[in-house]
Amino acid sequence: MKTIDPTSPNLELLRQGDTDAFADLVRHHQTLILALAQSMGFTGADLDDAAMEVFSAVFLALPKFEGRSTLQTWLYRIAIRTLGRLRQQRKREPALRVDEQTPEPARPAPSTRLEEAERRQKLWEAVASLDSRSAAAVELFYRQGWSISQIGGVLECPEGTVKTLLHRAREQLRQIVRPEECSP
Amino acid sequence: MNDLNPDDELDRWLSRELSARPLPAAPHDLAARARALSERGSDGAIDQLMLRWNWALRIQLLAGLVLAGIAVAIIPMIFSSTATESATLIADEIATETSGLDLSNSLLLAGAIFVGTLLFWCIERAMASDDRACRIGQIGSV
Repeated sequence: MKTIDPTSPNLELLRQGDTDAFADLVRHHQTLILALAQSMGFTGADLDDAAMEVFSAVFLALPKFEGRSTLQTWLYRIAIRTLGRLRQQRKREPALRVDEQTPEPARPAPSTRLEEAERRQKLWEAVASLDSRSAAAVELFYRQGWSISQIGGVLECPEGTVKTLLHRAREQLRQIVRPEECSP
Repeated sequence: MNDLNPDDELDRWLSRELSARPLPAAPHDLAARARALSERGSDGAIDQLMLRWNWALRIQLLAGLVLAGIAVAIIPMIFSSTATESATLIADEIATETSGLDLSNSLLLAGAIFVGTLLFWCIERAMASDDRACRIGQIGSV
């Protein structure tokens, strides 16, 4: 059985189009790719299709991977570009689903829960309304906990640009989600 | 940990709310579907047409069809030695009205055919099976 360690993938197998190696690669990165697509406003079947497009692009591009960056950075670059292109092509209108509500661990009063759910929904829609790079930066920074320099590597820009992207995104989100809603 | 500003209320709130967002479930056959999509080449011609059905393509297609129609209608009248009588009559009429097909008219016709062919070539390129791979190859050369 040919398998690869996702932290040190066998590039030769991947370049040769090895099925198992590619399946391992997908398994290792699919969660983040789906999260990125989700933050860019893809939902339901569109979300699966977007992830499929990303990995299809990766599969086609693997023979051309030159190793000038890590495989992970390279893969996420392709993901952000592919998702951005798909978003442009389909002129997506962010439409999030109600079934994505977060379970409430503390079970506060129903009205409070409803308000919180509405606030979250508003925030997710606001993130999805950002441009692709900003939405990706917000996803990687706030949700995935990446550092500015890691994000810069994926977005192919200096750290200062990432900070600017995040700053602008924050201002946009602040305008959409009113400041009084930011308190816990 | 990232470079989050712990003193910024909005930063903390965004981090808390966004990290609490449920992740979508991954489809179990994602790798197989992605591979199948890439191995399918560039989808069928109809898929490609639907995918790329923008105004530029519509104008190209229309212009190409018009020019091709003109070429198809005129070429037999001019060059075919076995033209039918009616075609000859039409050709004669055209020749009478335009004082014959001189060099400039022939060049114009040749130009129209060339442009029509070029337009069709552009469409064919846009729909070519390797186009998608090229596009992906460009973003993949990192």
